Amino acid sequence: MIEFHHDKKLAAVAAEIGHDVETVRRHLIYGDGNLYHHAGRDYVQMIKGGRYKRRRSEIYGYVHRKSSNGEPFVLATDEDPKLAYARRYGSKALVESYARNVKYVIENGGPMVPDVEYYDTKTVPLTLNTDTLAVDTEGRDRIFRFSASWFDGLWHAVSLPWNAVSHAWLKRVVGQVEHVAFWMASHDVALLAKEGITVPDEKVHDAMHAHQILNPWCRRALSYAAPLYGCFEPWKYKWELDSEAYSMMDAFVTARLWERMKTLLVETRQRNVYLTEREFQRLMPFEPKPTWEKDENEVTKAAGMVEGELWQ
Amino acid sequence: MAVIVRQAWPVHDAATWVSGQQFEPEETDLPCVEFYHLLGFGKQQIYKGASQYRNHLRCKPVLTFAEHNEWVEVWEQRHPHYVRWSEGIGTQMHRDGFVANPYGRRGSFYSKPRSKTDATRVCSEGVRFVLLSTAVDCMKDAIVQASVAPIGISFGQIKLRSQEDADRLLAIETPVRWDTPQ
Repeated sequence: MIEFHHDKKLAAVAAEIGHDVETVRRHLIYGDGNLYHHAGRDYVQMIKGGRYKRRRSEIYGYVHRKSSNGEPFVLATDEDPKLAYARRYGSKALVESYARNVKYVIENGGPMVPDVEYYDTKTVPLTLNTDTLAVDTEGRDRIFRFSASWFDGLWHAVSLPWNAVSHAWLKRVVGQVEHVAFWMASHDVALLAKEGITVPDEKVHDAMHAHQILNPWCRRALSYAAPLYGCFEPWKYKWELDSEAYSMMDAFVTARLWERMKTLLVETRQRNVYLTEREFQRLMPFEPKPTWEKDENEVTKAAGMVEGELWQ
Repeated sequence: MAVIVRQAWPVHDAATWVSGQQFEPEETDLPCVEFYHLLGFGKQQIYKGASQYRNHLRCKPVLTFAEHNEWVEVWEQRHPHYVRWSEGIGTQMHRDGFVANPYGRRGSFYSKPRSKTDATRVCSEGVRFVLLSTAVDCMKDAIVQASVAPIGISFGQIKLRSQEDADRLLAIETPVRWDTPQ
């Protein structure tokens, strides 16, 4: 059987997290073939479909709830050439994350999710009892939705469309907190400034730069970093199926990651490296990528280089 | 008008800082061969494996393999502190699982025994990481200290908006020396 080859890995993980091998075997599955077997073809097609079809690595290390035996499981990479570089430099970090996530699933019965969710400005609290807020915006050159997450004993997450009321709420809560965490802060801070919400430099934290210091071998995308610091379900495939939930998870995952990274930066004695990096990135110029408003082949057409016209 | 400030010998200066061995690249016969040797490149990588490096070797004449071996022997005798430091990097990687540059930035790489008979650990990627990351972190630290906003940076080189910014940056004392190209 395929799982036979992974017996040593399973035994190592079981020893590390203090659970028996059989329990770990139920919650840690290796390889794509077993994902089909445990979660079904429809589920696999859904999470691999659409825009993220080619990003197979985004499903490894995550918790998959739908299982043939009714239990959630963490999917670990079997043999994926795309992860060759990661395996060489980050195999230890990957294995540790699998073990940590399996332990979380066994002890909590599922992945990390927000305790309280808000999708309406009428229900969101006006005063936050926290010092750190994670914010994420949707949109490239203008904001059309944003999400926020914070911890005050419970994990809260907000996903709101961009309008006058939500704008006022965000401006208010950003003023209340001491730290605002982003994933790629330069993009979000620039967009928010365009919309009249200035986040002071001393409040801004970029979890992406902290991730690059802690795991420089790993890609900078949030979906690649997430399983290294927390235990989540894959959510990036939801971007067109359920954009509200997708947006909310972006902020919630950033908040959980930043919480974990703060500890790791101190433990690995790299906090000063992060603070210098943060100051340095603040000084570097950044402009959001412009979108093509007109015909993007305009220049090519003007030069008479459009396909087919050359032969006329 | 953009002004360029650069680190003239980023790898040599970083090696001087981390190993305590004095390097004077402008006074040596083969500074570029020394540059690649410091970064852990072997003779094949320097002269044959990567032709793009060969084009950068402005030290003439390019050595033969036999001459390179002799050069390495003499060079290692002249730079005992550096040799000891680079061996220590291999030992540290094997013992701790990471190496750190003077700023505290960590990296994890493979280390291996030098040969079947010699158990000394070798970690050329770790050596390369410490030298290159030290030079770049030094640059970032200076930019933050001088509080200048650069137009852009690349390895060993910073493009600035004005001469005033360049003067502020050049006033920062760092172990990796600054320079303005003519």
